[in-house]
Amino acid sequence: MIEIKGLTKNYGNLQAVSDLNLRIEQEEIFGLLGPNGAGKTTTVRMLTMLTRPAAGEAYIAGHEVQRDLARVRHAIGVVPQHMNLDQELTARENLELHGRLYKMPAAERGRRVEELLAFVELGERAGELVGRFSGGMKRRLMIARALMHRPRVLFLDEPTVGLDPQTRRRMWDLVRRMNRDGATILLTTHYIEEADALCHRVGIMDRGRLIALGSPGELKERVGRFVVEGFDGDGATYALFGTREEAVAYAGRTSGGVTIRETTLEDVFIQLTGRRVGE
Amino acid sequence: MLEAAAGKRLWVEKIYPPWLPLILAMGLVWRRRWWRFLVGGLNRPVIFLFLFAWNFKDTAAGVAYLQFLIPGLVVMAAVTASYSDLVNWFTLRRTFYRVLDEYLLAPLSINSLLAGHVLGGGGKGLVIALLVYLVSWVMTGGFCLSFLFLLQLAVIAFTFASLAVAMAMVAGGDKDVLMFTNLIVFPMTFFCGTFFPVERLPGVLGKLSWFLPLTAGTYNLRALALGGINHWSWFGESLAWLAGFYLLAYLLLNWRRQD
Ligand SMILES: Nc1ncnc2c1ncn2[C@@H]1O[C@H](COP(=O)(O)OP(=O)(O)OP(=O)(O)O)[C@@H](O)[C@H]1O
Ligand SMILES: [Mg+2]
Repeated sequence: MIEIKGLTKNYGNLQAVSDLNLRIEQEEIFGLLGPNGAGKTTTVRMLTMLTRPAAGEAYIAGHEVQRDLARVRHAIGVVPQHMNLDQELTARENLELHGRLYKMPAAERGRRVEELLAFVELGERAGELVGRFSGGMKRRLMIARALMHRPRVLFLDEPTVGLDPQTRRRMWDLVRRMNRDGATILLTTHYIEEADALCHRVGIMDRGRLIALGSPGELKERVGRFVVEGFDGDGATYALFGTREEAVAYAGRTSGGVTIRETTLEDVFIQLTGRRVGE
Repeated sequence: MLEAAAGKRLWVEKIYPPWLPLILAMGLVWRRRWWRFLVGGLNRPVIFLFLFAWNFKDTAAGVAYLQFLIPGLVVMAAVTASYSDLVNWFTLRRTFYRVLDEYLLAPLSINSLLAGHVLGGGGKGLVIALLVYLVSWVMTGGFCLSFLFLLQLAVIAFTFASLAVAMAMVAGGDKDVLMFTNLIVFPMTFFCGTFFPVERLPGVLGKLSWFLPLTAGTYNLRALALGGINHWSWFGESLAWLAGFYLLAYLLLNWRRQD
């Protein structure tokens, strides 16, 4: 559904994204996971034609991005990282404007607006100016807006950043439902649990490069399913093992307090880069 | 919810110009606070009008000056009403609301994006300027209203709406806008033959004034208002300014899109 070949973007001397190759299948929820500045947003902006790549090409739903602008624009829906709603319009007016820009006929547009307002549970606030909405409400409205024209591919750039845990769960449910209804979803996140819980496959990005790719299970399998976490005076130590027995045996040999737990994607990231996400 | 149809358009596209939705959005916001925009656009020219009318209406020379002045005030109204609101509108939406990204994602060409804003902002300026003209007419009488008058006024309004978009593309925020407006745009509305003939300006300023974007348009509008006579050279000159500023705005918008 999305095919990326050698996508590269430089800002001056900085390689924001370098030589990215990736295939995202139809009806997949794919997560780009990486720390701040990894190049996630830049990747999304290149795929959605908001930024021109320095090299490489991308195909969405069979259309070449950059060349087949009109078709790609109708095929994709985008929720950017920052809020970009018109705060002097109401929720309903924001959706209406989007529908008009995509040339939806009035009847279809009206139906779709009400349907989506209900979907993101904003029906009762639909007549209020968006400037008065909370962060979570704005995010949900942005998702509704991206869905207005029935795109087949959705880009969600950090859809849950700044949301409380409860709202985040609801957002996950929304994403799953959209996916069940047939959308291919590319989302970015720097929340480990989010990538783990939500995505069929995850690509880990660091400093503009894709350093690992696979399902959360596969990635953890690759570094070892179990972690023995200890403390050696000036920091945490980690040791990774394929089976619980090995981990327990190792823990028995070490002195001091250790904990054994299952590997998370964070451990995968640390293993690959020597740093924590966010360091 | 999505029912994505493979590769097919899901609806028959409506046939209206792609920039129309942008004007509707402006209309929605302006309708909500129409009094503010009306007062903001009318107050300055109308205050000038009453001030001058009060002082001049008793002598023949005074009335002649009033008739000279009024087309100038109409131009002033057109410039401020099309420029000020639009530059704030677009700067706010680019730097703070960040709606520009949403527009750039939509199936909308740069030209449509620009046309929508220029027509919306300029159209509002045109309406305000006509209101000023009508108020003046009622007070002093003796003016002509013709198609060419409207056209010339529209050209002036759209010229400054284009300038507003161009400015909104380079402004870092509303402080930049305020400075440019106070330093360049407002002074210009005084020195382009609005209040007195440019020959009365000191020294070379009178000559230089003809290189400003507003002078030819103001002179032509005055000729049209007072005698119904159109000067094609002046009209052409103001049209050229419109084309120039529109092109500038187009290039800057395109530059913003490239990131
Ligand atoms: N317009 C720009 N001009 C210059 N540098 C930029 C620009 N946009 C991004 N960068 C740089 O490119 C790199 C990648 O940025 P990007 O926004 O893609 O990261 P990200 O993975 O989305 O991070 P975050 O989690 O903070 O959103 C960063 O070092 C950033 O400073
Ligand atoms: Mg980002």
